[in-house]
Amino acid sequence: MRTALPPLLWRELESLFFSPLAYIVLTIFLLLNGVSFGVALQVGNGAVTDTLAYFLGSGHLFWVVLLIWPTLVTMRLVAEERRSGTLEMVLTAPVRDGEVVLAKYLGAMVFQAFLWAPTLTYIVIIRRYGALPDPGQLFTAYLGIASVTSLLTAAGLLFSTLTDNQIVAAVLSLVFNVLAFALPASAPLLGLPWLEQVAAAISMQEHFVGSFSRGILDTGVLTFYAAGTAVLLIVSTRSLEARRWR
Amino acid sequence: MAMKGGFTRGRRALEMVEGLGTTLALLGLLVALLYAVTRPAVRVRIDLTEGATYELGEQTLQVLGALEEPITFVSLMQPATDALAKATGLADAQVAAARYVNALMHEYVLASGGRARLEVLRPDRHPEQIRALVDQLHLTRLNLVLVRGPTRTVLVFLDEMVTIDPGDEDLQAELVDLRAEAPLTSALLSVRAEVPPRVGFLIGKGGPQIDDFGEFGVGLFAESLRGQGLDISTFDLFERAEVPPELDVVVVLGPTQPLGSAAATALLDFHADGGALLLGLDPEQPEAEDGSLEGLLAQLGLVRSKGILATDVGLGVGFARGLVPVRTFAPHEITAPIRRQRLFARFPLAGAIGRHPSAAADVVLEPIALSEADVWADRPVGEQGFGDFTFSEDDSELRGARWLGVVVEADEGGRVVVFGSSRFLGNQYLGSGGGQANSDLGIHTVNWLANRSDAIAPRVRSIYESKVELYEAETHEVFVYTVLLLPLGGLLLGLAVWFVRRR
Repeated sequence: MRTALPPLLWRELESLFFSPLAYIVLTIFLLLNGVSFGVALQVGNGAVTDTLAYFLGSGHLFWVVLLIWPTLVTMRLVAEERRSGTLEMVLTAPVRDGEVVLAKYLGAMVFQAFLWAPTLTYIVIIRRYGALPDPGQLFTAYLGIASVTSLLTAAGLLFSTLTDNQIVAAVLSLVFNVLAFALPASAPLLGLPWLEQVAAAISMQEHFVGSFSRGILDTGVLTFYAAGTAVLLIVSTRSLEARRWR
Repeated sequence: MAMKGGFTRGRRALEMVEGLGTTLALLGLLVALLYAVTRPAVRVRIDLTEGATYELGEQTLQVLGALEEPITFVSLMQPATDALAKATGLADAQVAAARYVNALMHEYVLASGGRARLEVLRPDRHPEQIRALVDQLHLTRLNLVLVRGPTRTVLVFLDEMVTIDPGDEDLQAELVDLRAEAPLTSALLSVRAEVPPRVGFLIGKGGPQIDDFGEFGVGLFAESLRGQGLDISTFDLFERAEVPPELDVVVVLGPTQPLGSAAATALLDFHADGGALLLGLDPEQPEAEDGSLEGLLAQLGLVRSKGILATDVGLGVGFARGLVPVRTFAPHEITAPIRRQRLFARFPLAGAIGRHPSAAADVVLEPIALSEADVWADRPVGEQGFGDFTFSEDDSELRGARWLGVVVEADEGGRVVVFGSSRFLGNQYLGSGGGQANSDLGIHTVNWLANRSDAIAPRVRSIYESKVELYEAETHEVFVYTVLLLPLGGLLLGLAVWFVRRR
C-alpha cells in the first residue's frame, strides 16, 4: 500500500508557510532570540562556551521561546481543521490516521527548524569577531532544542486533537509545557531523595544544563525524548481514531 | 437493520479494544526501553567537546564501579566577590572553575550507578550547613570539595583541581587548565581505603616546614597531600634510631644541617625494609664532614652536583637565572599526566643528580625530569654556595641537559625518587611563581611512592575556551543585526509571501 505521507506533509507545509501568521511568529521569535543572544554575550563576559551555554540552555528567554513556540505552532494543527470541517475530508480520504498525525507532526517540526535556523547566523557573527565556538557544544545544544521541541510539539498536537477550539488546545498545551518544566525543578522542595532522582531524570532543564548545552550526548536523555514523542504521537493517533468510535 | 446496527457497534467496540490494547502494549514497551537505557550500565554519555572536558578516564570508571559504600561529594565553592577580583577577572575565572568541578562531579555521580551523590552547598543559600561543616572539619577556607565516605572525609581544594592564572593590571585572570579528575579519583580511593598511606616528613635537620605557609615553607604541598587522602605527619631522628615503622613514605626536603650518620643509616634501613623515600636536595647546602648525606646518596647509587643550574635564555639576571625551566619529562607513571598536557615545571636554585661511579650494577636510574640543553652548572663562589650566575667560557662550566629528578630502581628495597631541589615544592613555587607542573610533579611522585598509581592515571583536561571581545561599535553591529535586521527580514519575507499569494 502506497503511503499518503508526502502529499499530507506537503499540505501541512503549505498551510504553515503560506500563512501570514507564520511570519509574525517568525519575527517575534527572532526578536526574542536576538535579545536573548545580546544578554548571553553580557552574561558570558566574552567566554564563548558560557555565552552559548546561556543562549542555548540556561537563559530565561531561551526557555520562554522553547516552551511557548511549539504551542503556537501546534494549537491549530487539528483543532482548526476540526472547527472548519476540513478534518472530516481528510479522515474520509484513503489515508491512515497515523499518517495524518505524522504529517502534522513533521510539518510542525520542519516549520520550527525554519524558525531556529536563522539563529545559526549568530554563530557566524561571533566567528567574524574572532571567536571559535566548540562544534560539539553547538551540535548537542541544537540537538537538545530539536529533542525538546519534538516532545512539546507532539504534546501540542495531542491537545489539538482533543478539542475543536484552538485557544483551549493552546492553553492545555501551555499548561503541560510549563508543568513539565516547573514540576521537576520544584521536586527538591519536598525533600524526598527518590523523587529528586526521578525529577532529575525527566527535567528538561537538567537535560540541558547537564548534557546538551555542555556538549554531551546522552543516550538515556535522547531515548527519553524519542520515547516521549513516540508515546504522544501514538496517543494522538488513537485520539483521532476515537472519533470513529463515537 | 437492527442486526446491521448491532454488527457495526460490535465491530467498533472490537476496534476500540484493539486500539486501546495496542496503545497500552506500545506504552509498556516504551517505558521498558526508557528504563533500560537510563540504567548506568546501558546508558552512554559521549563528550563531543574539543577537549573532552567531562569524559571520565578508564581508571576513574573502574574506581567508581568498584565502590561498595555510598560516597557523597559536597561542593563548597565561594568565588571571590571583591572589587579587585571582579576587575581582574579572577571572580569570573573562579566561577567557571567551580562550574567545571561541579559538572565533572555530576559525571562521577552518573557513572557511579547511584553509589555516589553530589551536594552543592552555596554560601548564599546554605549558610547554616556550611557553618556546621566548617566547625566540624575545622576548615580554614572554602573553594573545596569534600569527598565523604562512610568513615572518612577527604578535602580536595579548587587550586588542586584547576590552575587559574591570576592575571595582573593588564592581563585578565583566566583558567589555564582543568585537572580535577586526578585529585577527585584519588580522594575516592582514599575514602574507600581503610587505612590511608602514611607519609612522614623528616624534621630537625633544617629545611622547609609543613606547617609553614610563608614564602619558604611547604605548607601548601603538605595540604595538597592531605587533600589526596594521605596521612601526613612529621618525625625526627634525635631520640630514636629508626624511622617510625608505620610510615609508608618518608620525605626529606632541603636539610640545611648535617644529616648525621645515624639518621642516614635509619633512612637506609627503612628503605631496605621496603619503605619509600622522596629526597629533595638543594645543591648549595654544604655537607658535613661525616659525609652522611653523600653517603646515603652513594648507597642509593646517586651523586649530586654542588653547582647551581642556571640559564641565560630569557631576560633574567642574577638569581633569576637560577630559576630553571623543566620541559622534558621522560615517560613514567609519575610524569604521564604532565607529559600528556605538555606542562612545564620551574626548579629554583637546583642541582643536577647523577649516577654514582660505584653504584651497584642492579641499580637502574630513570631520569624523569631533565633541564634544557642550554643550562650550565654554575660554580659555587664563597661560603654561601651560590655562583655568579654568569656562564664562564673556560672549560669549568659546561652547557648541557641535566637530570633534575631521578627514580631509583633496584632489586631490593622500596621505591626512591630524588630531586635536585626542595624549593620547587615550596609555597612560593607551587603557585604562579613556579611552573604549572610543580605541584603535580610532587603529588604524583608521592602517590607513586605510596603505590597509588591509579590516583595518577586519570588524564588532565585541556581548556577549550575561545573569547570574543567586542568593542562598542561591534556590540552595536551585533545588536543591529540580531535585534533589528534579522527580525525585519522575517517580516519582509512574510510580506513577500502574502503579496505573492494575493496575486
